[in-house]
Amino acid sequence: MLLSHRKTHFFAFAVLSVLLSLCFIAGIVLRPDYTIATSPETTSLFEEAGFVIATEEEAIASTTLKSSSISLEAATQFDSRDRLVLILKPNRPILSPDLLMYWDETASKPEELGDRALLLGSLAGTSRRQFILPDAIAENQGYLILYSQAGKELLAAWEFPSELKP
Amino acid sequence: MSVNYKSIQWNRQKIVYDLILVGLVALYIFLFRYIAEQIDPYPSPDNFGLRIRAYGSAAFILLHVILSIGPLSRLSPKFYPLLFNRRHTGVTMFALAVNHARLVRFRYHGFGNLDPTTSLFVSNTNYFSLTGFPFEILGIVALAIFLFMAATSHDFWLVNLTAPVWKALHMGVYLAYGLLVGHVVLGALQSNRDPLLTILVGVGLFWILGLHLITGWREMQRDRPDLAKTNAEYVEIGCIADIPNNRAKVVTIGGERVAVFKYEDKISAVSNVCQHQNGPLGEGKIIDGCITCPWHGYQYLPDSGASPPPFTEKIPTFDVKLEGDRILVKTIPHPPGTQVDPAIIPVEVTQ
Repeated sequence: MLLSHRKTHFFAFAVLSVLLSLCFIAGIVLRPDYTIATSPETTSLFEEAGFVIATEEEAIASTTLKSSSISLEAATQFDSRDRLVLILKPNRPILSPDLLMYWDETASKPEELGDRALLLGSLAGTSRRQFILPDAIAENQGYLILYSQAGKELLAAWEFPSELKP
Repeated sequence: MSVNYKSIQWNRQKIVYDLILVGLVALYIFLFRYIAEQIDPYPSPDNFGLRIRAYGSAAFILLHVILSIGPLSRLSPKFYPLLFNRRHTGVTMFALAVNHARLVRFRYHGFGNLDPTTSLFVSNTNYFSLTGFPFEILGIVALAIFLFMAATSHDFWLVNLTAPVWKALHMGVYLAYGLLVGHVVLGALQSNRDPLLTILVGVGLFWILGLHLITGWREMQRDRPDLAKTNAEYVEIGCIADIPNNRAKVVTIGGERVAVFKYEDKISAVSNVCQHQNGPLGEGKIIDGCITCPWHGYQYLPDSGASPPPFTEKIPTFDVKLEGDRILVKTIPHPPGTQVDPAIIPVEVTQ
């Protein structure tokens, strides 16, 4: 019985040696040339997508946006091209799918996502994300809206804090 | 060994082994996260990615250790202490892999409009692409094999399935290893092009393959000279002087290994296969008058192949006779536990 096990073991590894060596070599040789998200080469890609590199020291002001179970750290600052950017960081995971941030230029607190709402970008987990804000935000009243795209649900709306305006 | 059933027979060696094992795993997880946090230029506040990689890599490394213990102990008895509690290492590896899978399910599939488990199975269906292959499936199948192995790792299953069946089923670990290599090569190595990671995975792969091929080949060569091919009733296995006192010579007779022991100026022959986990009795020695398995210390009386009372394990015995200083062993074994008179070494030979 044990002799047959030893033979099975040896021939199993002979087969594995061929298959796994081929898999390893092919997997390495044929792998696509992804740009790693955290590498310096991707900075331009992030900028094209609306993200900007900014530092904490340049912040105009910061505050906390709260609504029931949602809590976001918010700050504004100017980027290297003098564009006003909003920095948002959830203090804890928001358990709703596909989260998008909108700016809605309206005087009253919206109950649903309006057609004129401007998409700023998406949130991801508790990562800090940065969004370029429209120029109108400095002069006009409006609301920041957190919306679950997959759930088709408006989760929270905050009047844009005046202290965050330049 | 135990007469009465105990779920776990704790002893000092097991406790020390498990403490070292858990300590090393915890140290690895801590160092992995600490070092990664120091060198990552864009750390993620929730650290989910780090935790996924820490637990996944810990499980993968531990699997390499587990798969190295068997062949290394065939090459040198110094590795027997690692073999003693290998099943605890396996269960620890399974726990790490489960945590890796749990974190992946939440992090990558917990925020869509599909059930996370459903999403895990249907989010990538590129089965005909090599580098875009749904590597998650490979990990899930490997995890299912590890679940089966962890669930049947207890001696309860070993006794009830019998050691040969249990060992055959647990050879599934080789398939699981192949699946996990595919999981890593088609997963982590596709998005992470760091040459160090590629080299580490490659070295681990060729270490395991090379080690098993070399030891597998050596073991097959050891089995090749089958002494019973001549249809003789007795076969000569060598001289008395070939065997050190309280040790054995292992030969292959009729397709199985036989351990021929010399002790107290006597010669006895028994099956080389321990009833517990099929350990190599011939690589053990006589302690307190009993053949003692080098793997887990199971003991048998050399003249009867039975464990000393009150234990009940039994192994087959063989008739032995001497012609001068030559040892002859009968090719047909007795049923397990059969008392056989040992061959007495004449005084003139012992002198």
